[in-house]
Amino acid sequence: MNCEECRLVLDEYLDGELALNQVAPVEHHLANCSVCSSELDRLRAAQSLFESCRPEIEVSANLWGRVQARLDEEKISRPDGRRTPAWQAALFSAPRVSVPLTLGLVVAAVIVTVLVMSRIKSDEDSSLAAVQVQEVVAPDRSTAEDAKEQLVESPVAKIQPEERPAAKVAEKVRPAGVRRLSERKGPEQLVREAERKYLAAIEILARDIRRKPSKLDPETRTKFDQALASIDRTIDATREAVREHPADPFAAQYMLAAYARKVDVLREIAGAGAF
Amino acid sequence: MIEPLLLETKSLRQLSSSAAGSLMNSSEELIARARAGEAEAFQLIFERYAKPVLGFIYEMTGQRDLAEELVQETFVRAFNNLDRLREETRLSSWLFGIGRNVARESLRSRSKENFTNQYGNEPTVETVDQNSPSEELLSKELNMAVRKALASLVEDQRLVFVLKVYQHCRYDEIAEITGFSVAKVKTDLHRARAQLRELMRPFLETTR
Repeated sequence: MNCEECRLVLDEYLDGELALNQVAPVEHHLANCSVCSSELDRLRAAQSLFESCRPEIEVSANLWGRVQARLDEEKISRPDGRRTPAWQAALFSAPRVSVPLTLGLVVAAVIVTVLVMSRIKSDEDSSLAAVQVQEVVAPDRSTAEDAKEQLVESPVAKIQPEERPAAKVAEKVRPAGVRRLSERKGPEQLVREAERKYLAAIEILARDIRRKPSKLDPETRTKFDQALASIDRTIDATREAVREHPADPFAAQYMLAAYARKVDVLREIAGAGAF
Repeated sequence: MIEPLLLETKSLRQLSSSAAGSLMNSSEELIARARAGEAEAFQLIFERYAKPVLGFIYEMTGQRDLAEELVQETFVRAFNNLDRLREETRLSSWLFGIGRNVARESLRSRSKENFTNQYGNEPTVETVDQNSPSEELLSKELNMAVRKALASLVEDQRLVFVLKVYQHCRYDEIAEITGFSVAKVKTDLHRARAQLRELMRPFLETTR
C-alpha cells in the first residue's frame, strides 16, 4: 500500500469501518510511514476536539406532554382532513364522560386493575402464601419456587380457592396469619372483578350510544366499527388466554388493557355522536 | 392489529417471567404494543429515543427551542406512521430519518444567515476544566467556533458529520437515515471533516 491508497481509506480506518482485509495493510503502512501516521494523528485530534464540543441537551420535562397534546389536536382535526384511526384517537383522547355511572365504573375498574397489578408484583407475598398452604397440604413441596410453579401449572389453580379440597383442609389448620393473607382477594378474583366492571361500563355506554341519533359520517362510523371489531377480537383472544392461564399476569394485563381501550373508544363515539 | 397481540400472548406463555420482562422492553415489542393501542408503549419509545433525536436535530438546527418543536413533530409523525415501519429492529434509524426530514423542512424555510446567527448565540457547552478565566474564555470561543464551523457546512455534509461524529451511526445506518448511498456518505463526511479542520485550524494548532 502506498501513501495515496492509505489516505483514501484513513477516514474509514479512523471510524472503524474499514473492511477487515484492508486493516492489516493500512496498519503496516502507518507503522512505516511517518507522514501518513502524522495525518492520522491530525484526524484523531480533530475528531477529539469536535466530540468534546458535542452539546449535551436534556429533553424538557413537558415535551412528552406536548407530543400528547399534538396527537390530541390531530385527532380532532387533521390538516389533510383525514381522521386519525379510531383506536389511535381513543388512545390519546381526553376523557369524555358519557354518564356519571360509567365514569364511576371505569374508575373502579382502574382501581381494581391497579390492585391486580400491585398484587401480581408482590411475588413475595404470593410465594409466601403458596408455600404456607403447600406446607400444610403437601409437606414434600418445600421451596417457594415449587409452590409457585404448582399454582401456575396445576389445573387446581383454575378452581376458586374455596372450591379446592386442599384449600378446605388447609383452612382448618392454617395459622391465623396465613388465614388473613389468603382471605385477601387473589389476583384472579381481582381480574374478574375488574372485568365485570369494564363489562358493566361497556354495556352502559353501548346503551347510551344506541339511544342517541347518529351524528357521525359514514367513513368515521366505519372506522369506529373496524376499531371496535378489532378490539373485540383482542378481548376474545386475551379472555381465552386468561381462562387458560389464570396465573399469567401478562395475559390479564392485556385483557384489561383491551377492555380499557374499548371503553375509551365507546366514550369517544358517545362524545362524538352515536351511530 | 390482533395478530401481533395474539403472538405476544402465545409466546409469553412459553417464557419465564424474566425473559418476558426483557422482551416487553425490546423495540419490536414496544412497537407492537404501541400499534395495539398502548399509550404507555409509545411513551416508552419516546423516552428511549427523544434525547438522541433531540441532540441530532439540535445539531442540525442550532436552536434549542426549535429543536424541541421539531422533536415533537418527529414523534407525532412517527406515531401516525407506525404502521409503515416495516423493520422494527430499525426503529432508531427510522426515527432519525423522520427527524432528518422534519429538520430539513424547517431549515429550508429559514435563511442560512438567520440559522448561523442563532446557532452562534446558543449557550455554549463547557468542555474543559475551568481553572482560569482565560481557559473559560478559550472554551467558549472553541464552542462558538465549532458551532459556526458546523453551520457553514452544506446541509448534506453537516447531516452526515453529525450522524457519524455525534450520534456514532455506522455508514450504512447514515445511508439508511439520509437516503444517500454509502459512497456519498463517505465523500460528504470526508469533505465535512476537511472543511471543519480547515476552519478550526487555529484551535487545532493550539491543542496539538
